[in-house]
Amino acid sequence: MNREENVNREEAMDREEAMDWEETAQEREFRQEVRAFVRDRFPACYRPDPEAEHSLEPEDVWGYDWPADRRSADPERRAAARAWAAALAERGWIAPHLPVAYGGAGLSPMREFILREEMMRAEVPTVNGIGAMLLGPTLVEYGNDEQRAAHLPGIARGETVWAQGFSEPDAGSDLASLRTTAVREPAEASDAADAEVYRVNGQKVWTSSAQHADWLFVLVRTDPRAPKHKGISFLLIDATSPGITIRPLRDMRGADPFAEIHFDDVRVPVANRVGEENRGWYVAMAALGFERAGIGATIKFERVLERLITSLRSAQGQDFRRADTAVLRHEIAQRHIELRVQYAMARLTASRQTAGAVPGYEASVSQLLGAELHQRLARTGAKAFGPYAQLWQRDGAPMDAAFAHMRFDAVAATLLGGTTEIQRSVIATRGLGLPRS
Amino acid sequence: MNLTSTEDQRHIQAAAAELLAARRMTAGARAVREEPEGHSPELWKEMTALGWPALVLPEEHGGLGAGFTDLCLLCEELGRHQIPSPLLATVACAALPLARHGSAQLCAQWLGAVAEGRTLTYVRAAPHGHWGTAGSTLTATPSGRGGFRLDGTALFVPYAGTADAMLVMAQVGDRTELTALLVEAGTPGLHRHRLDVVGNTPEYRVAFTDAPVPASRVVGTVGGGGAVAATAAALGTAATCAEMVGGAQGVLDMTVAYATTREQFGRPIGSFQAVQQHCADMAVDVLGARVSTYEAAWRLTRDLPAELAVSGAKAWVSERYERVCALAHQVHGAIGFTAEHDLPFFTRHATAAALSFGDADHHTGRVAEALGL
Repeated sequence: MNREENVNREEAMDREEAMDWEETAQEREFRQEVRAFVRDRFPACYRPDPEAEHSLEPEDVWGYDWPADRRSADPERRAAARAWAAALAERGWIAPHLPVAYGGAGLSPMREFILREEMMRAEVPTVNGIGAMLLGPTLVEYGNDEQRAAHLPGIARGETVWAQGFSEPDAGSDLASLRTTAVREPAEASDAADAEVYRVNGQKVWTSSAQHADWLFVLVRTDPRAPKHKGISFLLIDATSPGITIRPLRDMRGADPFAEIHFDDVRVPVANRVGEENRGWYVAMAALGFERAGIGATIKFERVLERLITSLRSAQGQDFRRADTAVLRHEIAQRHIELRVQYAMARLTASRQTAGAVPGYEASVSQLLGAELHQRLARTGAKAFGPYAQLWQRDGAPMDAAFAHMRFDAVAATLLGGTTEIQRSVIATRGLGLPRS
Repeated sequence: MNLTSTEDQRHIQAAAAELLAARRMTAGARAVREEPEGHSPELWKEMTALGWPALVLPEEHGGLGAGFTDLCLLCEELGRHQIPSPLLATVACAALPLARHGSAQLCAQWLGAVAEGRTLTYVRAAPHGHWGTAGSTLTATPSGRGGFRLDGTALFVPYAGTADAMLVMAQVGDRTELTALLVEAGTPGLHRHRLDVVGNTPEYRVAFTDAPVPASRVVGTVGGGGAVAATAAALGTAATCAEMVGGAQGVLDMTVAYATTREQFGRPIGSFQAVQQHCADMAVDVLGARVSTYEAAWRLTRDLPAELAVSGAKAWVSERYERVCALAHQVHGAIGFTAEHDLPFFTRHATAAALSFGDADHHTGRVAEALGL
């Protein structure tokens, strides 16, 4: 029995009393351990950038964009981002759920929940989120030994940054209609001895942080004649391969959180395919099934709501606060209640996963609730400040214009990672068992 | 932290579900609507034999000593099957507050009786029906030797027609501090009149005219009834949330089943995106209702600060259960509006339960208060 199983079994044995929201002594101890770690090891010079727009990843912290920071033009920021990654990697906490053998910490979902919660409360950045949370579990489940050995340690050490190339200009919600092709061809002299390759052509779009990535995991069409879900493969592609052009895209806030990627005769070894040829759709869908509880965003929202309440009570806040507050007061209380539900749901998800219960649709519900709550929270916060809510400039604005910016961040919340319409369809068909349309 | 159920809890809930499903035709809201008791006394006897009213009462008084959460599981099943029952009013709103605040003599007299099938109810009667305000429309006038004469009228007293005693919140003279009294059903000057209400719970107007209450029936201290009322309200609110969670789950299940079988345009309506979105929204509402309710129930079981959790749960559950019913009507179409369909019983339950112990606006206001807004 490996170490992870041991830990999970110990945790299972702690669980005498059910529907018990109290943490076990071990869970409390772990929480203290995380707090002490962040206090001791987070580089003091790694500070939030007050001018930055928020990253589009819901689990990211305000003021940080780790994939960009680790390559920042500012040498101090670059060093700080790398030092933070190295400190986390020592504990296996970049990819905490990955097996210890691959550089993870083998944490149960409940411990991972506590780790993420504490990091978010301390407002320190998530490192390598896409690689660790999406690709890591996919490789554990569907990769082969060579792929796991080649890629998981780099993810867990924060040395290799990944981006997810799924969406295309004509394949958004209907992802399975993607058209980027991969044609298998015999090895050429320039390729390694027996390496067959795919020649990849096409375009991906809305790829978060692609311009900062070292590697891409990409869905490509390998059988154009098969039904659309059955001709797709899942490839790992080195972002520096010849023929790849990555162009950042400017969003409505003026930031560049994502990019488009052009593949022009890009040669990818067949050995970089995850899972069987033409079974890539199912690998990708399983990856979406590795959704975590979404605790990070919940804590972030909780903190911003606390800050709003504090600000409204402060002298500066009073100057900005609208005069008629009856509706506002009610709305703030509603947001508080919704956040409480969201937090409880995240805990339920983590607890059920740890107990080994059959996954329900809690994770999808969390994601949907979180996205829509993000928008409501942004609106409530902006509403608090009446006409001052239009100040986009940070200087002289209430709460440094946090809510003016958040309203725009939140526009993307119900679109990215699948629109909320798609989320609802997933809940309806996979969760409730309604027939597919 | 483990939010899955124990073996025992799963067993309790499964056994309850099995019994209630089997009794729905004879003891469900439709079956007992015209009955004078407003519930099935036969089923109550069965529940008593199974130990339901005794479940969470203290062992020294004939109870089984289980946690409050377990009572909520039973309430959830009652809600899911729409079976009107005096369980919630008896145990959550009267017996448990009595166990916590009552004298040894009152506990000895009543808790064992409840475990054996006697029922109780709770009479709050805040002025103007305002939830959570101080004072009472019932006045207790001292009548010598520590006893009182009780006067006044209270509305919306559940199961008053069959209750063996009532936990009554009164004020002494003009003072707004509450005094809790346990008033027995046979007390002279006590009148009970069944109200015609929206919900499935039989509700009564209870009038007291110069009704004598001996000193021994004071629960807690004279003027100290606020604490008793707070216990009754907190436990009653959480148990009502659990009943509503069950109701909402029942509505979701029935709606998914209908959307899966009902065909239009040559296919099940559940395959249409608009219908799927309604059902997904219902699922979100129900899951949120469940987690917030059981967090509140757990806090109450452990005697932790629960005000925010209870109010948050009641606000969410009240609003969302009503929305779940509204969406269910939308998916069911005309058949759900007919008298023969069961959905209207849930809609009635949602409407009435939302108003019991404070609606969403009231509890949202309490949360705002607690946040210092």
